[in-house]
Amino acid sequence: MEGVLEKSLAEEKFEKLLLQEQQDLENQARLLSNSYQGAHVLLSKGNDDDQFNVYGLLQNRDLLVSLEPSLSDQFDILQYFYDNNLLDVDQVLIAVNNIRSHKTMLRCVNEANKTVRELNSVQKKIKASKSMSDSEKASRVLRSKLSDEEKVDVLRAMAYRSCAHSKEEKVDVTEDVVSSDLISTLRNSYAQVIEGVTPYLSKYYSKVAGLPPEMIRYYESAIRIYEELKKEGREEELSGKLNYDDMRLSLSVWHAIDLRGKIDEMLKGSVQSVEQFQQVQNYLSSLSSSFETIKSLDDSFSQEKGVSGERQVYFLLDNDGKPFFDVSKFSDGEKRKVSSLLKKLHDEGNSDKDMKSHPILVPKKLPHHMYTLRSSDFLVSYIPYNGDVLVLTFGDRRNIYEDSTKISERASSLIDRTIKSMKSQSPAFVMAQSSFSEGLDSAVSLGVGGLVK
Amino acid sequence: MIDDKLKQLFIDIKLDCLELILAKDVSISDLSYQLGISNKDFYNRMKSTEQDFSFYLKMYYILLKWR
Repeated sequence: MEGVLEKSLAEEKFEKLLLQEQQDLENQARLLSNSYQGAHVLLSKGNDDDQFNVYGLLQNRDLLVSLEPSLSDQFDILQYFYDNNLLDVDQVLIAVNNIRSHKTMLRCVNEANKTVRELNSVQKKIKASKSMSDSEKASRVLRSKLSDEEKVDVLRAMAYRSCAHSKEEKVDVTEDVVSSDLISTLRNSYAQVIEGVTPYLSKYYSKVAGLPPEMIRYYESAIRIYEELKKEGREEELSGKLNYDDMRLSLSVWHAIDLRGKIDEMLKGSVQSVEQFQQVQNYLSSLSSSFETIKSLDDSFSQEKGVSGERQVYFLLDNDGKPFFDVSKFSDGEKRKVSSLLKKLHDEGNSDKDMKSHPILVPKKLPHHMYTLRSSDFLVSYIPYNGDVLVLTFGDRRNIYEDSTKISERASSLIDRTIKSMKSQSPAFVMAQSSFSEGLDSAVSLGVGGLVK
Repeated sequence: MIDDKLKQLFIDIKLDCLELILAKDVSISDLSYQLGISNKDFYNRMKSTEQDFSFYLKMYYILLKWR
């Protein structure tokens, strides 16, 4: 452990990574900010003399062209007619339309709300990365692309500094006894890893609570086989037949809890021999690796769920805006269950359960994988998509399977279109859904609770 | 080699499920309900040779916890 007070190569590498990460975030924030400003310009109205707001578009030419460079020609056309005071010719309208209807510009406008949320989130990350506490820094070290040896190197150096060691000391790892300094460093490293991993263990504890060892054995075998298939580029063969990420998360959480118990047990006693010390180090290294897996899967799940983290409940509506169920035929009890199921669907978004953990409803040969959620003997069938859900129908256990299968078969293209609209968030779709939700809310509320939109 | 392992894993989990169904005298109707599928779907899946691990892992978990 030489030179821990001077920056090692690993530390310098880590700092460079942090700097690069900050720059990437700043670039991302700039892009999002441009996109949001672009949406604002595109939505701005002109005055009577300039009803297409050509002046506004030209004023923001650089901004809009930075979002879509291919529109430069259209701005040249606008500039020419604007300079010659000929704003009422057809070419102006065509150029304005070409700009406003370009897919990049449409995306800016349609996703303006999402963009501003993402921008807030990125700005928070930038702020956090500039004022990191030691424990946050340690978590970053563990999540970084450094090799395991480099991570341990950086963590050790941090642990030493946090203990205010003012001079370099040679660590004694004699053949039989480990120095108390080294044990103290190990305890500090462990405390930092625990601080990082504990929130995730609490978050995902329900995934492994009471999971029998036999299941763990199967998870391990299935994951091993999946990874072998992946090496051969054949993982698609298990697509839809094995939830790899979910199993990997459960397994990592299970291992992390197990390792935490083992390390706690060993650190309770006196770790003195080199053998014991190395054992704890190995456990700690495995715990760090489990933590990394959990963190990276959590990140990818959060991204799937969207930055808002709020689950939206949409309904499958036919071309006349009618659902595939008839609320008026439901009894008061069933209406209460509809209300409760919708609340459950919505609330699942704020809990940590994966919507796909619910039973799959129908055989996977159907075009869409459907799932069910139940409130006593009454069920809702739905399709999860990108963290949100599309509700198909409600019914009791005798008819929900048949009804949902029929809907999936007969309204397959309508489901595809609705999922596309959930993605694009077109104003017409959002309005239709919102209006339907309100109607359903009043139909099932019965003065008890209500539908969560 | 990998195909053999895949096949073996599938056979193992399917057999484990069947053994638990017999040992715990599980009603297929109740099990199908717990799995969120109809009885007909349950029989079709059991007959199928499709290596749907998600389905069998879920069933195995339910059966391990079956009282």
